Amino acid sequence: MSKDLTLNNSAVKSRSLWADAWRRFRKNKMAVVSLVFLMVLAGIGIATLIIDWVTNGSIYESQVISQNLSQRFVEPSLEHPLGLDEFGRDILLRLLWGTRYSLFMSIAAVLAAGVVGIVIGAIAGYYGGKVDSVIMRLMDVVLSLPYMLLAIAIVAALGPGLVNVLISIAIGYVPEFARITRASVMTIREREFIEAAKAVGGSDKVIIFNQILPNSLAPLIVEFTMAIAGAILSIAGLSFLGLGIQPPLPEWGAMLTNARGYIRDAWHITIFPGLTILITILALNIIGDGLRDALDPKLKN
Amino acid sequence: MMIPVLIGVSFLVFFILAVSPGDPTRMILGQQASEQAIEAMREELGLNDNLFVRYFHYMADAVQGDFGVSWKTKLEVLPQVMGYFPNTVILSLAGILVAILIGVPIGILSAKKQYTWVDNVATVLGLIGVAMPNFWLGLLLVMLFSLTLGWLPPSGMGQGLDLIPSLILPAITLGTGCAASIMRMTRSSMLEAMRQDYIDTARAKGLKERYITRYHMFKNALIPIVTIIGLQFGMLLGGAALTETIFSWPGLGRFMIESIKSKDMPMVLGSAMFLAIMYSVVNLLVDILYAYVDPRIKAQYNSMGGKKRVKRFNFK
Amino acid sequence: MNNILEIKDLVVRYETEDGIVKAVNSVNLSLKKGAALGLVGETGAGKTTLAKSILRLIQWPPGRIVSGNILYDGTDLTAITENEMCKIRGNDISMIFQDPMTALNPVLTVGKQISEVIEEHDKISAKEADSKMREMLSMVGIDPNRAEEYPHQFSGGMKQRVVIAIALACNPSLLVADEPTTALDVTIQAQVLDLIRNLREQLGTSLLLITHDLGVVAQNCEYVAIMYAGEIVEYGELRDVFKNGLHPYTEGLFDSIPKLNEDVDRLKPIEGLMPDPANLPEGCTFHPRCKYAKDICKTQKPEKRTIEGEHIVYCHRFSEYEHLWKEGQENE
Repeated sequence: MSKDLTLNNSAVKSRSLWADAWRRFRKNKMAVVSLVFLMVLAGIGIATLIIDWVTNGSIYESQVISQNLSQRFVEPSLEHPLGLDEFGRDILLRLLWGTRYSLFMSIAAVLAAGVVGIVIGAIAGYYGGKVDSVIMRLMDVVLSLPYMLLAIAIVAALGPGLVNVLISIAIGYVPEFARITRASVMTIREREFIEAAKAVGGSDKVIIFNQILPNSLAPLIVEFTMAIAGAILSIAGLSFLGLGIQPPLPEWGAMLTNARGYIRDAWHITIFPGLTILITILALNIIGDGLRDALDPKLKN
Repeated sequence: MMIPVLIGVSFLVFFILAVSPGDPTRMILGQQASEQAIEAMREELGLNDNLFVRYFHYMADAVQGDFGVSWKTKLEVLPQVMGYFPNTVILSLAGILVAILIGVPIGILSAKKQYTWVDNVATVLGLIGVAMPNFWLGLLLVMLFSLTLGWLPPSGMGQGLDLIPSLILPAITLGTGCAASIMRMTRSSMLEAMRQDYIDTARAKGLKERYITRYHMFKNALIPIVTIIGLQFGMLLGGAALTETIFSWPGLGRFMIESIKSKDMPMVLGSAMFLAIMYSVVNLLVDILYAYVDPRIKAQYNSMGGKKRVKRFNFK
Repeated sequence: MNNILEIKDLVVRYETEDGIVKAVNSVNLSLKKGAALGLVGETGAGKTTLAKSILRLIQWPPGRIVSGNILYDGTDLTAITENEMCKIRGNDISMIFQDPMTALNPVLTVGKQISEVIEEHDKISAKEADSKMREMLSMVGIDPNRAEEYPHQFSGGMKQRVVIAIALACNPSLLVADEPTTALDVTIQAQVLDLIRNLREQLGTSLLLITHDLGVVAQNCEYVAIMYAGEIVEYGELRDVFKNGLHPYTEGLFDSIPKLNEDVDRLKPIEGLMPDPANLPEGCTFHPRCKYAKDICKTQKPEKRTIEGEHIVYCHRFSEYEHLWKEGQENE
């Protein structure tokens, strides 16, 4: 039966679409290294959460939060590989525990932005007409402000703190997710109408789901990766300014807030948190570029 | 086209800051104020009106130059904002200049020498530049050039001739991230132009390669480059807060942050409004500049009677 | 020196990630002064690469001239410096490219793109260059007042005229035209070809005309060369090749043209596809598609055989191995 054959072919095609992309991604050594790094980092973050849960937060309290003023500014040594900060706390441990704020919160913010953005974009794309215009105008308005300014303004309005930072970061990324989704949905919509007119039947719907959806997922995945990188930077920036995550929480940017005053004496307080931010964002950007090349190689050459 | 954008932007900023929780009257009158005084203050500030009315009043006053009065210092907002704003402009201009001077030539070189070590190094530098948190870079630069080497001042804005040295480190801090973005866009735009058929035609004419690079490749590559320069400049205006804070630069961004910390809403609103409007103005100027660089767009402008929404590139 | 152009054993390769592409394989070709040679072949045969090689326009990476000589009026173009080559391009040898829609720079005026080449090669003032440029515009049938307009304001046919004006502005002795009419409507095609012919008569330019259209060759050329998979398989005067095409590929080309006086049910295409230039067959590159192929064809490359006068062909059937085919015939 030709219908079954079409079904099979499109199913095979969609499976190999992802396998193809993965194969291409694997060839990109830098991207793979970055991915491994990120997974290790995420793993460490999760490990810290588990440790806190198991020890009831005691390690967190004693090592990460409480101050040990007799031991300020100790330089890196075997016992404390990255040294101690201005309050005598181990920088390495603070960085590791900070993963949940810098990395996981960024992921959460971008996920939130993604969910909202995709829904809005889907609605705009599907209904078109007035609804589309209104929604897109709204997105344009949000885009009309520079991202940092928007985030600062929202945090200014709502006050500092975990949730408010999440909101302010997330809002900035909604328009991009909406735009990407809207474009994809409009393409699907057109195809559906054509197919309906031809009245061919079920196999085409399957093709649509197996071919178009993967194609629209691709830019969303890339955007997702890049957005997390941007979010990390923004959260770090806001926290550095004192508007975001408040001390003593070990967010990487917040760790740099006081560094300015101690540059002269303690280089390690400045170097290590910043380096961590840099490497993490670099890894995410490399992965994002790698994903973009892997999912649509036509764009590369 | 400019008016609706400005209205939208200003309303957005107003909306965000107006919905902020917290009672300003207490701040102004102090904790000891009586209920009557509070109520009277609320009337005077117009806090009992709905959002749109308040917005309307605010804009009506603003257009006449009255942005309200600081809750802390009781000074008028506009003169304060205008005092700090030029410093931000100076810093942003310096930053974008650094970015262009670094980004464009390296981008062109990287494109022409694709596949060689030049390209690879440039690409890596570009990646790092984009990933670098600029506030961290600022700290590093201060560590190296101010503390270790003692060449440049670590903070403050110098007067007169001293302006230049004090401008260098902040400008580099601001400009590096932009430079990386500009370099990447220049490179990809040049590569795109290099592949075009009309380059073959130009070579077949016997024109020298340098001439071709400048007049045929670069002129065509310019359009996306101009766009990104414009966007970056706008972002610098809007986001110089971090750099200004590190270097204690007396700019509007830093002032806004301080106002936020002291919960001085009129100042925050005035600052944010100003920066947002400047950003819109820069974007609109970029659109116009577009038309001069690409004759095809100019034709559209002319035939459509001046104002047409121009499609802009979407990139990070 | 009777030949304006002599190509000897030219080999051009592209080195890519997916393998080495053998675009031009030991091509020998010559063009007499003032004559027009039609170079015929399907897409992918290497015609454009050959044409670009003449002007040394092959970019490295990924492509380069591996070996061979290109003699222009006695000078070996493969041996001169880039600067000297620049003096020849646009001045002594000009090239017209295939797609007029993309051949012009969109941000420069049409006039500028013509006067550029004049100013590069002729030592005259800007003013004189300007008037010469306008002369060229008239010559190709465009109103000289339109010199300040941009390419997007012209139609496809007019764009191609501008391209021709650019190519002929410095009065080159040799014009290489790569499928100059393929991208145009049939009526415009005729106009453009007429224009080229008239200008040739006026200026005495030799022409290497690349095309896949045998009709165009018939109307415009005195000589024909048939190209397949990077090699010349047949060459001769127009009449010889058209009336007495010998190579199986030539046969196939002519057979596949529908004829007015024949009533057929189906067209006769040539079986098979042009081979992947990164993966050429052993022996004669045409053998997988050739209905006459014998074992010798699979292992040995055919050498040049002169049939009569200037008519040459590269096929074992006309070489010392021709008996292989005659034997078969006797047995039938």
